[in-house]
Amino acid sequence: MYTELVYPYPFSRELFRRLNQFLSMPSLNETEGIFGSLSSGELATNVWEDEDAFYIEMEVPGTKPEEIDLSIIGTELQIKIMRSHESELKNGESKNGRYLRRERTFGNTVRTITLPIDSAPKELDASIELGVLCVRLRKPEEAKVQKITVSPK
Amino acid sequence: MSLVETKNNTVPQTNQESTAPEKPFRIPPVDISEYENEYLIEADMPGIKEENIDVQFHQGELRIRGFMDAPDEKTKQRIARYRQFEPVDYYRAFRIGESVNAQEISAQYVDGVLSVHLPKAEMLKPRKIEISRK
Repeated sequence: MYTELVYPYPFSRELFRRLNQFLSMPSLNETEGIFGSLSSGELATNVWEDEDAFYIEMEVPGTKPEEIDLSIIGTELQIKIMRSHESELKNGESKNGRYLRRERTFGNTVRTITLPIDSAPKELDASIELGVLCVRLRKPEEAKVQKITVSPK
Repeated sequence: MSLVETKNNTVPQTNQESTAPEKPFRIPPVDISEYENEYLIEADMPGIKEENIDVQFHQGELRIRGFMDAPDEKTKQRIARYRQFEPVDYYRAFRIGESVNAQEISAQYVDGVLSVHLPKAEMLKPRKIEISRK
């Protein structure tokens, strides 16, 4: 019912992990845990529906509103995300930083969600709350549930 | 495909007494970087309110935790059509040891990203040694 297109991020999380292992970790070692399993570069997405609307939630931690581009093409919602690595070794006190471990993904992603309706949704509002992109698509009238009353003869 | 990883046998021997929660939890992906005077851990923990984040440093171990609010009534009535993440807590622990100054650890949470600054212990900081003349 829903199709997705994900542009693969060139460096997978797994690759980084192995690279880090290979380069041997200094004093900062994780003591427990294994990785959650989403394919690399993919941003976790939930789609919900109720009587009036569709709700799309996508995890976009650290992404600014101007880095997100939403468009409706027919009955598809296309979400383009340009996640720049803003902190790129600048957050620290000095600029001469180096990575000991990299698991977070950055870069550009496009994701298309096909909505199970015949005509384009008219109203859309989107916001980012705590690093989660929330899109609400109001259903067009004809996509709403029609109640038919049965009348006695 | 599950996003939820429960506690399993990946706990190394050095950490017999695990502090991992019993409930299912998510392990946030992290970037760890090193600077002249500090280490920086950045963790993707979207969807958590700032007051529900807990950062602890205990006996050389840094623990980060984020508690997810239960979905409200309105959200509960929605029908899930596609799911890739669940509203579960975040948890991850790191063995840091004696390499940081525990008193000076600070953390910020901005747009779903938790940053923990771990200033290096004095002995690890680069020190310039003056050459004295005889």
